[in-house]
Amino acid sequence: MTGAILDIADLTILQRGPPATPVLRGVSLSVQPGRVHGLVGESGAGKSTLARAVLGILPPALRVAGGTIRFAGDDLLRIGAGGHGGDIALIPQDPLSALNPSRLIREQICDGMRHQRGMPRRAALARARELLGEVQIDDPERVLASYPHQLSGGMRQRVLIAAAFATEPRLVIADEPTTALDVTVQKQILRLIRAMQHRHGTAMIFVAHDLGVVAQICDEVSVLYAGLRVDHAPAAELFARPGHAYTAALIACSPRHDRPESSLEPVPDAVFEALKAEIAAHDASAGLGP
Amino acid sequence: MTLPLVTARGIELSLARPATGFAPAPPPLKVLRGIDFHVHRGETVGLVGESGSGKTTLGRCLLRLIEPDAGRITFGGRDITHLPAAELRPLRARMQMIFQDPLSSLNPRKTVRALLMTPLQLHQPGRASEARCKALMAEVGLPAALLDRYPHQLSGGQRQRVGIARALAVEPDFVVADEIVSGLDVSTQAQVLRLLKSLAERLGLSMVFISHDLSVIRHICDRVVVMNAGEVVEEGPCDAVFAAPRDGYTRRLIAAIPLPEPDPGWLDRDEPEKEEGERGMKIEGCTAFVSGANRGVGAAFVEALAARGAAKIYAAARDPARLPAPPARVEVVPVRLDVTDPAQVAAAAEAAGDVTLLINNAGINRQNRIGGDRAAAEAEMATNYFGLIEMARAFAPALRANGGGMINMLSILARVTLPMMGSLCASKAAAYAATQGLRAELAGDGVQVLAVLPGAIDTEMSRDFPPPKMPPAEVANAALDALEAGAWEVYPGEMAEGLRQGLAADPIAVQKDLMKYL
Repeated sequence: MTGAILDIADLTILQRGPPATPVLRGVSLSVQPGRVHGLVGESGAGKSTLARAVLGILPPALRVAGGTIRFAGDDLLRIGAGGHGGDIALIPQDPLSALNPSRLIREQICDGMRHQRGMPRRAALARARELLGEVQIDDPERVLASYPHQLSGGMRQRVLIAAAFATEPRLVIADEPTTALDVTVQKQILRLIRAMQHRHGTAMIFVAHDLGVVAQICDEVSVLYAGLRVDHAPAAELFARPGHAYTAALIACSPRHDRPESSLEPVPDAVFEALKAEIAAHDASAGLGP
Repeated sequence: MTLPLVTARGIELSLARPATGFAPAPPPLKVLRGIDFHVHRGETVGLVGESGSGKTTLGRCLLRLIEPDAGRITFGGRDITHLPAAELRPLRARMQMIFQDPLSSLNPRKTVRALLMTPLQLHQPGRASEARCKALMAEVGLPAALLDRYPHQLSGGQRQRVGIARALAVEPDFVVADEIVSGLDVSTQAQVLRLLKSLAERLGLSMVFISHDLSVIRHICDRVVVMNAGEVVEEGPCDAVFAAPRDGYTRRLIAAIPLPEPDPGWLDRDEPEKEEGERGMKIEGCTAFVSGANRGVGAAFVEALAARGAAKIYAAARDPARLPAPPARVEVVPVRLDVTDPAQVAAAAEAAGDVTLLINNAGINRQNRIGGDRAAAEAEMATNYFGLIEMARAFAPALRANGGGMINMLSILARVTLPMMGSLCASKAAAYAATQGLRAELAGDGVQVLAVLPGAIDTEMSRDFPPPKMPPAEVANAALDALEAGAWEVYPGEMAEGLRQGLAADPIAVQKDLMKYL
């Protein structure tokens, strides 16, 4: 697609064998500047693998077997994500393990600006202060001089959002950024992420398993199952008229407090059978499978 | 109605916190603050709240996995609060827990068969058999072939089914399920919820379903109990609570749940608690009438109302000349008023037809013992009770027409009796009862009636009380905060709050304590 900041084409990733097992099966997707692209699917669907591939941090057990990841015109698989240091940032799931427990928040927010953007210490610190204001931290000085364990979960997530936007990245990957948070905090954090993304005009990949979260923050959505992209549509379209039986089934089994009479139908076996057939057909045509 | 299977009354639990660095140890953390809770036979009760609300701790108290500091827990009518382990053991089979994370709660070195056999051998040795294991597996929808597997060889959903089978193996009456679907994918979650619901119905289980997810609670529970910071903030049948949540925190929780349906305004919509006119009255712009405004809490109310942007304040006192200087930036109208004089009350109400908030603060204390001076008792009753009734009656038409609120300044003494001021307590108790009646009468017209029951306040009237005493300004602000939050009763200060909790847990003990003031 033209104008896309990120263009993934036919990406196949295998877990090293033997036998090598596909983790991503020929996934294509593109993200436009200023848009939020949601990745949903259940555990094992390949959402996080896709995010890691873009970040260039695939674990050693996985290898790219085919396809391209084009970022701002460059093939990331050839030049490595390091070539775009500071242009792609991550908001991780677990804010505690993503922060270094033995370093001050101040140092950790400034890292990207200092090392990837070459900003002088003073300027980086001034910008860090501004960023903490942007993520609605009332007393930036105290937070800057804190260690991660001295902050609450919601506070840490705010710090990580500030750090992610510090280098003015062109793409932010949010990997289940609110899964560990209470619902009221989740809403605040989602609002912040959306506000930051708007203000900076950043493109975003938003990985989530909660369809509710995806519905509220994403412009378009891709549904993954076992590494295959089975559905893709603008968010409004996807939830109103799901294009795939699996998407419809996922929506139907999400409990809703406003619809207690709905019976939470588990995904019907027929849908899984159809998915299996789809995967077999894909693997056969791509020369993957047995 | 039959007695509940499980009851908890006035449950309190504190945790000691370690000292950090050179600072002295902080005071113990109150995890549960006077919880009342019950589960009927065959009922599924949802226990919901955010992290740190105390829901898991309460669940463990109910099963007596933790012994509470105060309060009483009964199971099948028997008090188990302090039952020693040996006496508790026979009851253990009747109460079981299903844990959040089956991978860490199931012994990784045991096969599914061994995991199911353990509780059977412990509680029902005669029935510990291969056939029973297979029946249990069938019950939770797992193939018998999985009996030889280890927990790590199962999927998340299968593991949680084993957790359920293990809890049900000994045929309990009561099960506490703690966040048992929170780690599962939605499709697996739907299966496990279905299974649990059908098992609970078929086996007639009483269940406490602990979850942070109100949507899940809505689907599986008959009744819901909402906890926040160690307290129950709301409780009721699911249908009622979800249709019309009364508590601000409950409303906030429900509003924070994202639904799988794009709603462009959702992210930017503020929590309903902050929306005006929702339930609590707004002080800004109101026209208030404050009786007894010449000193103490009354004077503090005038200041606090002005600070919160009230448009106009009628400051009433027996002798308006003794009113303090009015605060700036607000119109203050002095009013001569003795609430025991019906003519003066009627005239005041007539003159203040634009009032939207009536603060009944006038009150007297004659330091009169029970069976003491009858004239003193009658004087207290005339001001504290009949005065309040007279005021409410006179101002009701204006409040009904304008909409708004009424704050009745009572005292914790409305709910306990100090022998050294017995007639005062009686007058406050009568005023408290009157306030409940007024609330019922005026609620239909959109008038919010708030009872304020503080402990000792640092004023002339409480000069005989031992400290700590609350500054009047704090009491006034607590009352206005409560009004704005939509509360109908508030107990400002630690003394009043402590007594309230004590009364909920053990009223006799509270009265005994108060005897010491003789």
